[in-house]
Amino acid sequence: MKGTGPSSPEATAFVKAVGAAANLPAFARNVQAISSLASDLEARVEALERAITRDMSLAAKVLRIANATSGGGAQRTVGTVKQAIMMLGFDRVQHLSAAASVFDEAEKQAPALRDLQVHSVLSANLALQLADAAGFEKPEMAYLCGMFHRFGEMLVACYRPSPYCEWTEQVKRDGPFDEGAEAQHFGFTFQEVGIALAERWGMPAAVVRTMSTFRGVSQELRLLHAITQCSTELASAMVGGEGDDEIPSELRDRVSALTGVDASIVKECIATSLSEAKPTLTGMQVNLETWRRDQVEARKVAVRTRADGGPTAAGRRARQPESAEDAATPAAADRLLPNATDTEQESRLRTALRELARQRELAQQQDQGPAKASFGEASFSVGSVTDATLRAACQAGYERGVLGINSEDRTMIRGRIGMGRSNAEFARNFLVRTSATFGPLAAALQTHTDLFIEMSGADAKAYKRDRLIKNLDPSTFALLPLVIESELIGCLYFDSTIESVAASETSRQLLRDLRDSLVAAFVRHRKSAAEDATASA
Amino acid sequence: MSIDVPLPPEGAACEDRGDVLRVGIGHGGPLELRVDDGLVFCRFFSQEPSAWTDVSVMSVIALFAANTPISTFLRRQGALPIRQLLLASLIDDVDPVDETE
Repeated sequence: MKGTGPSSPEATAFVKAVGAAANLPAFARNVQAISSLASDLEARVEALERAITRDMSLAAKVLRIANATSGGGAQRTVGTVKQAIMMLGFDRVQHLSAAASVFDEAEKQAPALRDLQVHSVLSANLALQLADAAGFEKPEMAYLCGMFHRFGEMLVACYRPSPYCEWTEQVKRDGPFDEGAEAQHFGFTFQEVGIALAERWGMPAAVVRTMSTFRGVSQELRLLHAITQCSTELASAMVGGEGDDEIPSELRDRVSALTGVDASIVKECIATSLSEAKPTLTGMQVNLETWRRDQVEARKVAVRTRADGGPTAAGRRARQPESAEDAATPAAADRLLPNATDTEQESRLRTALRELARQRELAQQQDQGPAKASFGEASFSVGSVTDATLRAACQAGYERGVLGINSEDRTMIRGRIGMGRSNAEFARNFLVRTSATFGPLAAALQTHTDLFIEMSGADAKAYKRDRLIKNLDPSTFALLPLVIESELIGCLYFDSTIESVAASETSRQLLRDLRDSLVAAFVRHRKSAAEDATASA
Repeated sequence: MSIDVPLPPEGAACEDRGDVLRVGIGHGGPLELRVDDGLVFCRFFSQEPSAWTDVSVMSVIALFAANTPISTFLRRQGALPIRQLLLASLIDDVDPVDETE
């Protein structure tokens, strides 16, 4: 598989640094060198024994494994490291002791590494149980995907221990942050580098794909992707709670909606996964109850600190794009209904959204129907949905709007279709970079974060630094990334320069829903293009 | 240096012997697998000396991805491919795939 590679210079530098093996503990280097330094097996065994016995905890570990392997029993007790090497074999002891040394060092540098490993074990077992319950045919693959979902973060914790510690402290103090917010700290997202390295190492495509956040739109592997995402969210909730009863019922319902597993079964899955995870965690010398208690305590301390520290940075951050398949959820369906409390602007947005939902349903029926060709291009095309979305935003108070599309090398988004005041010129001049180093808009695009900004106070100061915002000089603007399976394909941008747009939470949500309709139109277009290509081949 | 283990053919005989799984893989087999401290080791039963050698992380991942009784055994024995991959990256024992493919 050809890797797509990371998009920012920081991410590229990080990916290159991984695997350089520059900071191996001295013990591991020595142990690895024994094979080439010593001439015969006896000399190698002696050298390895000498190295191991210098470290009491390591010697104890080797003896523990040897005794477990011998099957226990007083008569077969392994009492010396040399005996252990003879019993387990030189290669095995060499590898185990080098591994133990490397991990001890890594966990010393970044204590959070152990927490991330525990999280991945919980997540893997949850994915396995959910896959089983959902009737997914490869539950062991789901286990693997659940385990690797946060691999990027684990790599960052391991290879950038100091910045990662600073980051976790910041999260404890001000967080929790929105997904992808770490890009402002590291210059890349955990997901980005995790995926780049997983591709580089040739990991299975399903594992790579499910390392990205599931946003409801998935051309393939939808169930596996949903299971992986749900398992990670449940594991995070389990970490924060004191028992599986602490999992919020809304989360269980969401898992149920995404995976098709009944909410009561989800509860059973959680209980089973906990008991299945225990032996593995015991092998890692982790007592789950104690560990969870520690996590809860750490969270309480963090909450107290945050309460003492005033408002959080995360409070100003816009939320993530909602699932593009939200239209299928009860909440999204509710948003299609007329609402008596709507302002005039909200009512216009809702009407446009309702019409798009109708067109989308119609298009789906056409796509599934036997006479697909006879319908021609449905009115749920990318062009028609773009037009409806930009028009609705302008009717709701924005002076102008633009659809931007990501360039082939994924480094910049250029305007393609504009609407409103001086729309053609506006679309022509609209250009924004997609790497966080180029400013706050680029950072939001890189982290797939929605922005609804009123240009006053601190926000005005922060966003005026952005070249595009400086040129456009809006009083209010909104930026909505268009994302398909973690790939940024473009964005919607709306602004007003004369007066600010009264952006209520309702109107923001409706704009997000409109954006999600546009993403769904892009997905449909891609699928149709792929089918046509297959047919012509 | 870790070794690659070929994926056993579909329906290959697997004999669970407690801490060890014996797998009939056709060539060079049978093969025995075990897990110590989250890491996977193997030995080819017919080879002399039949010493335990660590299995490459990509082979472990491929075994999991194949969703066979082998992956179930490895999981229950506490295999941690994520830990193994992290380790492999640290000791420079994981190779990039050819990106020109």
